[in-house]
Amino acid sequence: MSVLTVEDLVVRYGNTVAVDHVSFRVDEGEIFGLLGPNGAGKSSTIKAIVGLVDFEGKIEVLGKPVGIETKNLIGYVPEEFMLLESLTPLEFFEFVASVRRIGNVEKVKTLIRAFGIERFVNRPIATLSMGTKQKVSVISALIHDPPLLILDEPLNGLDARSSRILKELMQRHVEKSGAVLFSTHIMEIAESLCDRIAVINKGRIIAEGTIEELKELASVEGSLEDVFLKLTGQYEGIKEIVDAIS
Amino acid sequence: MPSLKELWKISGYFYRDLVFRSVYEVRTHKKNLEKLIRSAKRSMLLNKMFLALMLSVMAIYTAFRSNVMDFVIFYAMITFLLAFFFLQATTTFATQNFDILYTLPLSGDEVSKIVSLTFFRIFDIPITTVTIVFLVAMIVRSPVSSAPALIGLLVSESFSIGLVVYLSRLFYSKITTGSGWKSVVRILYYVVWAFAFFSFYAFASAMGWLYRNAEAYSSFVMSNSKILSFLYPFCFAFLSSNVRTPNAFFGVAVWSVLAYLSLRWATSKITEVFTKFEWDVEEVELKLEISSPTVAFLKKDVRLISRSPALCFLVLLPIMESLILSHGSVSTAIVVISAFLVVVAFSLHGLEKEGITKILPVKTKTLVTAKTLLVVTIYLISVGVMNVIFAFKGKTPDFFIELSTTLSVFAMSVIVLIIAEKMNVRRDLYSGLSALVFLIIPGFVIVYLPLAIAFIFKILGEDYLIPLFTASFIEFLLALTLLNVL
Repeated sequence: MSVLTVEDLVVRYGNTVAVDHVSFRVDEGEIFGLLGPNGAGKSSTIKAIVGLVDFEGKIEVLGKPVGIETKNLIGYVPEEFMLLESLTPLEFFEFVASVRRIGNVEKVKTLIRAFGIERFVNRPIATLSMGTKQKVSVISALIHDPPLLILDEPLNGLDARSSRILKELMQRHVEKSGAVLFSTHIMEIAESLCDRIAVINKGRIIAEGTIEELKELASVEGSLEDVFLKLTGQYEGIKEIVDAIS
Repeated sequence: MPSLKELWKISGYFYRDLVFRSVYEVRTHKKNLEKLIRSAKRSMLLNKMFLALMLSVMAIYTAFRSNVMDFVIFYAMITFLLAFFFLQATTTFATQNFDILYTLPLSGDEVSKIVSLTFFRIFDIPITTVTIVFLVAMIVRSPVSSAPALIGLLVSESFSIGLVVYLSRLFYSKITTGSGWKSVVRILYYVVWAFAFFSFYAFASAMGWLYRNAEAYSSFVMSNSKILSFLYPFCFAFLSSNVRTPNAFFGVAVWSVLAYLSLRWATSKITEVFTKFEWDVEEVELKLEISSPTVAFLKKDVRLISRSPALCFLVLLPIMESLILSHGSVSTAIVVISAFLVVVAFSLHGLEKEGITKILPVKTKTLVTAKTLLVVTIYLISVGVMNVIFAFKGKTPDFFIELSTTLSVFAMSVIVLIIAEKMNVRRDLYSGLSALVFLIIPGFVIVYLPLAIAFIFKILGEDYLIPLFTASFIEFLLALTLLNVL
């Protein structure tokens, strides 16, 4: 069953087309990777799904068109922090949990302990380190047990323990019929976590499938990084650039 | 060692970043990046030009009158107005990241200067314009008086910057920090902070009143010139209007030195205020209180307000105004207080400029209801404060007018917030002054229409209370209907 359906998605910023007729689907029990170079349209696609930018086309979450009703079906970790910086983490979680109408706060407390931020929950978010802010962002996306997790570079700044916890949580989430849309620049992580991957470049999806299917498509035997660089036309010239710099 | 010109140039990069962020934070994504940058620059320029025009008109008016009181009022107003506008910008300024400067080969003193210059850039055009306009006008009127007049203006400008840095330092270091037992100390600091600013505000407001009665008070000032001519801003005012006393010369020298020291202190402390925070790390009980979405927004807004000097000032302004206006009539007080609430409603809506509310399941009705409840609460507190003072003075508060206006304030807030939401203008007062102009008109119409109707009935010699209440009640019902269809 499809948890997320994106059909013919177009996102424009003025005259610039950031996402150009993109279509894909994320099924339950699946971690779907959305990979692409900087400025390829990954974050714009994600922002359209979570309702941050206007778009043309069709986006559905569990069969419902995106809108206020689908916001409780999504847990979103943005690439850039979207936190109320003068609140403390505890106040921020309280606000998010209240707006999402969560009755049981034990989940929030468990997540706070799991990510080890008990000592920082009473300090304004603005004063926290990047890693701790990322933990606050991740916790606020998980507190309402959404069927769809949309994680845009979620491991940025996380320490090894928290990264492992988040990766395990993603695996458990899909085992319980949830779905994850995952965006990252770290190919090794994508390779180890994702069931299927879409490669986006210049606003268009240029390849989609399992890692084996992508390797076949790119005619590359190596790692996902090799496949990705080949597909996006960035493979050539890397050695020459490094030689020239060093 | 970089020259001042180079430091000024470096501060320009930070200022451009500040301007861009103040608009970019809105994240409307409806314009392309180039348009967004142009819009940010235009918006800031418009704000500066508006303030420059306002101050220049005051400067020309004052320069061509030779009355001591006019100069006294002018200097006091310059200090207050600049402090007021600078304070509005402190919230955005506090989020500016200057850390990159510490990684560059710059001394601590140079970093301080760059931060200070960036801060000055926020209102560089108004300050420069008013200084030039005032100097030229004074030279035309009386070349001899132009020198003390210019010094008086520069001293006023320096005091305003010193005042803002002092209040911000107090706010960020004492009020926004600490918890538990420190809350008591926080409240004490809050009182000190609010008292320091509002006593100055009260002084400037009184100046506005004196402006209208300047002639009458001039004789009082002249008869007490020996004492007054030593004090700021009287010493500058005396010399600017060709009244020369030894005390005035002495006063000018003393206050000029103090202004210089205030500016130096502000420059040295500005990095401490806006770039360095020290926080205690302590384990706390994980206690979360889940409430309805409307209450959650209310709590969140109150928390954000209590941690931003600009917002705190705006919210306390109607309450302070009610204290000052309680010396006059109820109707005058209500007219002024309700006008401030249009700006408060706009600023509360600006709190949602962060993207977080866009990804949460928030209905417009929830948002508008929460903000309106806060606006009405501020109004009721203001009116309550006024009534207490009236009671002490033996005056009878006019509950009927107050009740009617409460209904209008509710309607105003609902409609202004709905328009702001539809226009997607989630801005603060600093970045959204031009957008506010569009909202002030409907806001004022809603608040003042019932009062205007009542006024007409009063002139005609008819009972005006029933028409006042009826008009307000109709507005209230209209707002409730709008709220329910959202």
